[in-house]
Amino acid sequence: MLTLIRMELLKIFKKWRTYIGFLAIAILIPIIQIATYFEGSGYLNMALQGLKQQFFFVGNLLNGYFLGNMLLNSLFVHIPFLIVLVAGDLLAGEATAGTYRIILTRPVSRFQLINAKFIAGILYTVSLLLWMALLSLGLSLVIFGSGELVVIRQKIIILAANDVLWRFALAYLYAILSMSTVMALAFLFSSLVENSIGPIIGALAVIIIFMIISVLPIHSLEAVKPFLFTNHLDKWMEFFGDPVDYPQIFKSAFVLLLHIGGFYVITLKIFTGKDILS
Amino acid sequence: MKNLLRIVFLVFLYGTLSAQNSTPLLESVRHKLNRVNDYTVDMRIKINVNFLKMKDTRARLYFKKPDKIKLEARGFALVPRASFNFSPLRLLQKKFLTVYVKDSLDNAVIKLIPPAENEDIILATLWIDRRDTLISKIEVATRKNGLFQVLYTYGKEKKYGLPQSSRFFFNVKKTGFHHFPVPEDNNTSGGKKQAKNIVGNVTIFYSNYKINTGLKDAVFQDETEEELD
Amino acid sequence: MLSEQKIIEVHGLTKKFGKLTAVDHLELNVYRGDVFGFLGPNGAGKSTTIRMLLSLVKPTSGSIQIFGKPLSRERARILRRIGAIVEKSDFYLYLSAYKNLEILARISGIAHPEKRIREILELVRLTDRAHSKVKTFSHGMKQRLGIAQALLHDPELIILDEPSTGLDPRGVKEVRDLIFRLSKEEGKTIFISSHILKEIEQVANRLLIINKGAAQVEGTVEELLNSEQLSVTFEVDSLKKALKTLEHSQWISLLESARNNRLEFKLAKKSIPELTDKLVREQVKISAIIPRRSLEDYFLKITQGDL
Repeated sequence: MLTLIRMELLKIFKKWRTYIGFLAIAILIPIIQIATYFEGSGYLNMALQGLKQQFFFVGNLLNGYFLGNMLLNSLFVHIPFLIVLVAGDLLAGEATAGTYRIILTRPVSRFQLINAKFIAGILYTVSLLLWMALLSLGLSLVIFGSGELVVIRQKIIILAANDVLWRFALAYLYAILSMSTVMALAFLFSSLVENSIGPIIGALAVIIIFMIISVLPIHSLEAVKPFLFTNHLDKWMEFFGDPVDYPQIFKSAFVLLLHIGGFYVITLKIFTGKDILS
Repeated sequence: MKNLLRIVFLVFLYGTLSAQNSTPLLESVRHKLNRVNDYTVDMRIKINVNFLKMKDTRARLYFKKPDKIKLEARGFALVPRASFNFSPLRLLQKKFLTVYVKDSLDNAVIKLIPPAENEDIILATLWIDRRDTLISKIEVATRKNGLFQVLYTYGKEKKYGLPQSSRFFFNVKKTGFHHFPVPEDNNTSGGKKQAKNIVGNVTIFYSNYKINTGLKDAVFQDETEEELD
Repeated sequence: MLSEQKIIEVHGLTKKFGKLTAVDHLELNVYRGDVFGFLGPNGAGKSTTIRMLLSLVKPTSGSIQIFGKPLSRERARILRRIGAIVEKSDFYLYLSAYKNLEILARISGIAHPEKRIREILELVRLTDRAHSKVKTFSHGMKQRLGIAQALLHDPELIILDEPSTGLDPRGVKEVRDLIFRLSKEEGKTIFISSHILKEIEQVANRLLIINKGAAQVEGTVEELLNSEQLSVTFEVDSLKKALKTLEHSQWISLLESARNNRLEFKLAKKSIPELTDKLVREQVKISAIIPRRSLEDYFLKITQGDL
């Protein structure tokens, strides 16, 4: 199985499209960091203007943690696209290339192959998010230094500098879970067709539609909303609350795990029973 | 008739005498505070406000007469502006009319009205401990920012009128914070949210005073220094 | 000498795609050491059958046993001993030939495949292009690489679906020579489907012709070809003399054409010496006897339903 996973990772990382995500992040994040370096305090001042009327600000809230949090918030909507770009190709790409015939005539079961591809897809997701963490948090800390983290939501929460890093670690762990759900969905679609465009567009369409449903103020949809996985994708934000709402996080994580499991099982069922005619 | 006139005279005399006695009391407080030319002090700031969540922070305050201040913190700290804007020393530097005086052997309550109508302060009330000549409480009503209340306790440095702790209570209109999200508001009326005030208190604990050490002006030459109102 | 051990045994194999029956109760036996030709026109069910043998397609009904084991239960063990080319050879175009083979070797369980890959690439004459990306390969090169991947793990059974497609004459000959060597020298069993019938005729010892999903005939090449009548052309010095000799004989009814000093007969192979003897005794000089019997004729007849 390890050999299979290695071979799948080799195939993933030898394709140019894999690097679109890494490149996009590598370009976008430094641009935002440079802009913030010169303009960022203005944004923060505006956001905290009311607070400044009542309090002196001693020290600087524009630090690496603030940037890291802001970047995670802003880029989170775009990461799914970068995930489905690769995940949608995991199975459909083999069909397009006709390479099922040389792989599946080897002494490897479809079950093993699906597992290897699924795990490779998750590892790609992990690597992309780690890359994002490295640039958005790591590089921000190098440029802007560390300090207290201000989180502006229903309340303004200012977290002590030594109380932040573990939150980022858990937030990224949750983000991996979220994006693995997106990966699993694209993976499922990939098993249905022989061209990777369909799964990419299909997965994104599902995400967008579910997000729209989530915000529609229609009473009859309220019962459905808690089960839409898109409602649980951004619960990593809860790690920056005080106190951290662990019950909510665990509940959402459980929903996501259910979705991942469900997508995986359906994909397995489809793929193991499928006739390879390509 | 004569008895009635006598009573009126005595009441008038008492009131006049009381009015005259409040000014010397304030002068005594002012004199005590003026003994401090400069000081540095470490502050521990505890914030308890409904829209803000923050652990206790620490800062160091440098002060030099008449109004130079500098704040330093290792990380980040929020220091209420009211602690300076409505500090006893600043209040007593302004000109006020004393309108009403309530007096006892231990405490005096003095209301101060700013002479000009365009002042932000509408009314200030001081509670003064006569025995130690120290201000124990200040209440300030402002046009822009509502009502502030400050409670002081004193320790080692009471001879200089420098507090051991101060607690600020405030009740500010939400409109003062319109640039960031308001607290969760479940009350709706006709589809619009009810306006809510931001309420809370901030407690500052002072320690490690260093008084009249001859702080140089250079200490206060800092681009990031905030200006007082 | 061929072993009687059955390598492939297919009973009642059927595959339906909706209402279309692609393979219809196919019976097939391949013995150890066979070079088994699997013939049929386009759409006859050849590729579907091969895909079922390789478990790429699930049969609707019927059974497949390979190496005496049921394919449905011992798939991995069976596939370990099979090498295959299924239709066009497709690879990961963005990877080099070497990398493609490395992936396949490792999946096949070859832990250190470097030496084997080099040997195989040399066998198919792709050594100098080992590290070129497959997308730069010509069709013929891809076919050779396809053969390479089929032989990579030294399989006992080699299934070749149209292996000469797209190859130049040299390539076709090389494939033929390779099949001979694998069969005769290395004792491999080869299952080869093709519509290049001359190729099958030259390499196969047994064959099955399939049409519309169903087996038409199965047997050794010799049996199948001896069972039919041949077209035999006699080149003679005098057409007139030859015709006069034959005019009242049984042979005249078998004459199909006579022109340009050539007599063309339809007769069984065993009848050739008798006719030759007759003509020679009547002083007809024979410069050539050309039997035009080929599997192609037989194949066309079978599939058109003439036999």
